[in-house]
Amino acid sequence: MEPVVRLDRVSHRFGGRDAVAAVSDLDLDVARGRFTTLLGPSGCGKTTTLRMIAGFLRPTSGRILLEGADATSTPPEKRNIGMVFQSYALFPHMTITDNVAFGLRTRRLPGDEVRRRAGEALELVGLSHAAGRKPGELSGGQQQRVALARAVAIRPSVLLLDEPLSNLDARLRVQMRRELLRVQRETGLTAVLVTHDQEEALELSDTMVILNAGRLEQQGDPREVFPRPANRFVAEFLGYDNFPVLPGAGPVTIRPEHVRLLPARAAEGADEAGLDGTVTAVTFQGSHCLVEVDTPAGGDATLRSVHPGDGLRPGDSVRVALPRRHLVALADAAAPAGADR
Amino acid sequence: MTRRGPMLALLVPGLAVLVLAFLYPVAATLLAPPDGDPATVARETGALLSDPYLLPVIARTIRVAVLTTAICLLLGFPVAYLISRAPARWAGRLLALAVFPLMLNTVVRTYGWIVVLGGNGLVGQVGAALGLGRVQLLYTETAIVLGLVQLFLPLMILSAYSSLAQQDPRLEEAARGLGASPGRAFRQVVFPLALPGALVGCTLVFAGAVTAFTTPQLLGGSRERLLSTLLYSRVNVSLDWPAASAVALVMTVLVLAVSALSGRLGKIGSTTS
Repeated sequence: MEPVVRLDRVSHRFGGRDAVAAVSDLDLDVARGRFTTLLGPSGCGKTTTLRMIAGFLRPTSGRILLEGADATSTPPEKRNIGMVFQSYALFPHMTITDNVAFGLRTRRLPGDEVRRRAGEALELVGLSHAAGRKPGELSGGQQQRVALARAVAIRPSVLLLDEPLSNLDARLRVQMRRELLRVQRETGLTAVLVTHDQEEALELSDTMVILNAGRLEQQGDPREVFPRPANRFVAEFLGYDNFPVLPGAGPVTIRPEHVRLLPARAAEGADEAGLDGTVTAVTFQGSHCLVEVDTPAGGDATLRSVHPGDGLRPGDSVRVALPRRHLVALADAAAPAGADR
Repeated sequence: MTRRGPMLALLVPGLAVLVLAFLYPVAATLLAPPDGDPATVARETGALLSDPYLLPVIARTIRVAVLTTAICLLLGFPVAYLISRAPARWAGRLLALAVFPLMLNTVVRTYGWIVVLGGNGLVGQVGAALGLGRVQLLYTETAIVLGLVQLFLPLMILSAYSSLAQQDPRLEEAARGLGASPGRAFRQVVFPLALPGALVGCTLVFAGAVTAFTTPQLLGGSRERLLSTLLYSRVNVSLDWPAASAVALVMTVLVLAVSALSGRLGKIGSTTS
């Protein structure tokens, strides 16, 4: 099936003498009816990419195709996109209904259809009762739902979500994630969400696209990406804290919850790699402790292990066991996250 | 209640200065000038409002002030909009440039206009070269409006800018994303939200245009009298204080009326869509 959005070697450089490419030669297909997230740390180019899809920024080079047609220089109002901003960007001088109806009126739909579709959109987000109010009278979560209704009402070819949940408090954010997913599933809309929150991306995505310094690092179904990070950047971003150096092996990584700690001089299993180490820190985290272990044999690496923590103290000698089936081979040993690439 | 007392005491010094140095002299000159009392001022005001020679002066003053305000809004708002959307490092410089005319002395600035508009000035020479004959803009209403627009444009730019700079630029993008052309986004979102600033600008420019003296005096001469130049001649030429008070009273009422009107408009703008 033809992708709704296709980026064809798209780059964007912000002006200025020492222009840095915010996005470099990015190829990306957004599949119809799917939820795609652009994930990465701040400055990775994810918002720039979204703003180029929306038409608020022109690519410095490359092409953007919407529904198969070249839209590289199409202004935003002709792209049929539904945009939801982090700051909500509701029109403060209009009622909730007028906000939701705005995009329907610009399409010159007849009055009764405008009213019907605005009403439906508000119902979809459960805010019919707020129709006559002004945005300033609603809570942040309600405002974000109005913004979602406003974007959905126009039946856009793609719903663009720019960190829509970042301004909400933690509990509301989790609630709104479910809401977002429900609305996307019910409407069948194609969605692209920008976020720096890996949990959000894992929960929402059909396809997860991980960006770093304007380049694509890895993309795919989160169920495939999460257990198999392709390189050190992706691994670190997804919370793989450990990068042990094992004799005779290339760069590998393993999640802290898979690292087993045994008494010193105990033998690891046959399907495990073992390293001698010294506990350097034990941090209480509620249901478990995070134990940091220095392993001189592992190239001075500090390994982190999730452990009940009972009885372990800094200075204790331990044997670290790494189950081989949880070791993930990485494509590069190079640059840790944040370093110049 | 106990904390109210000391708080109110803080108001006393400022209030005293305001009453003694502003309200009292204003009230005195308006209502009971030297050689006059409220009754004479009232009589003079009645005479002014029924004098067939002076009524056109009032009409001209209103016309000049309204035109100046309208032109300042049309020229100043777009400039303020562009500055508010410019990259931060440019905004400061552009704003300084826009305000620069305020730093020149009015007399110097106005003499500049005399040079440009006079019969032998730029306008006259261009007119002659185009075969339009002798173009005389100096000592016309047009000249006064030109001079006042230049004088007060910075006030409009600053007022509109203060409103526009506070506006989340995402609002305009949201409108564009929902299918609004740049013009529609401006009419339905950017301008209505910047209306309070534009209204403050209009009030300032209108009040300034009604009360300005140097510009109409130098560019309008004695042919094109405005209330302000009339006031000057009442005080300094005919030495008729009660008549001068009557003129000042009309000017004050005019400015207060417009400022009340803009306050009313601002309220309507903020409560309806």
